[in-house]
Amino acid sequence: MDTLHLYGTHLHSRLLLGSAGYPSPSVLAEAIVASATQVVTVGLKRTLAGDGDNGFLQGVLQTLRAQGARLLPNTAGCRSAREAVQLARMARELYDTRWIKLEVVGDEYTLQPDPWQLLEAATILIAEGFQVFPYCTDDLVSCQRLLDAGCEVLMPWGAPIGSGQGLLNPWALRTLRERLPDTVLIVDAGIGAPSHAAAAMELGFDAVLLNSAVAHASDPALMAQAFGQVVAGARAGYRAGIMAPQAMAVASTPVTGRPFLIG
Amino acid sequence: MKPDQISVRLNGEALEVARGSSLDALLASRNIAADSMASARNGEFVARSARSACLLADGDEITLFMPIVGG
Repeated sequence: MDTLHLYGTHLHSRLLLGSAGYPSPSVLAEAIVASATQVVTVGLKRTLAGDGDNGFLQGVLQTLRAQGARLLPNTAGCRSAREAVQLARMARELYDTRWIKLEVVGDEYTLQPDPWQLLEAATILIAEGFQVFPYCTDDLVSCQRLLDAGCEVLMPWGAPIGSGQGLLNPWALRTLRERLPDTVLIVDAGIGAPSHAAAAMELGFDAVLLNSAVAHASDPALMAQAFGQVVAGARAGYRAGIMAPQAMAVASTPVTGRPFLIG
Repeated sequence: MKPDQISVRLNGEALEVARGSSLDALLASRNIAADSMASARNGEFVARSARSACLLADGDEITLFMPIVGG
């Protein structure tokens, strides 16, 4: 059976789904079910007077329980290792999980991960027993340093968060796959269309994580279903072995020369 | 401010509490569902189990965090 291994947890779905930005809790629940995802990302934020999320999270929790899926809390909004470590500790308490999607942003315009702060935070959290899913760039050497620190999963970006631009640097992603053949690699961020997810899976990535592409679709549940299907299909295609492209046409029908020796 | 009181901020709101108050007591006095929140003092996480032993000091910034949806 082709399963996804995340820190000892075996999953059959290779689509990780974000829970933010949906028009209603019921639409979010429908999308989770339609995607067949087994991992849903969540966040935490500073409480302000009268705060709430209008029941979104309760809806997520009920749906996840019914689906047997897991939560992956994130450290969204952090700009330093210190902030991210504190938030991760809170997430572990609130969500009762050692999993943490570690986000430390270094640039406000691109929301690009800060590789130095990310590595520092990952090192601290792994020492505390966290199982870290770092949201990172596609830079090979910084990915290797995260592995050295003890990360078993890497989540390089395909494009900036929420941009829906797809895989902006397929060469870098292909290089990561080739140089880190035994690492669980998940493309996180930037996927806007099912074809983008298919491209990532056909590169040999183990999974994709996306949010806005489903949440902002006209029909989120239908888009979630589309992503679930295309991720599974492209994974099967990758395992089956995709043919090498040829420079010129290669006739597929095994005819013997031309049908008629006329003209 | 009375001599037996200190000034702290809870989620940005200025409050006066009795000197020697714990974080646990502060949250209880504000009717906050403490089990559904994570807490930090001056930017450092304070676990639920450590709140009763966390004695507040003048000028402390207490911040509470709640679960939300996320990407």
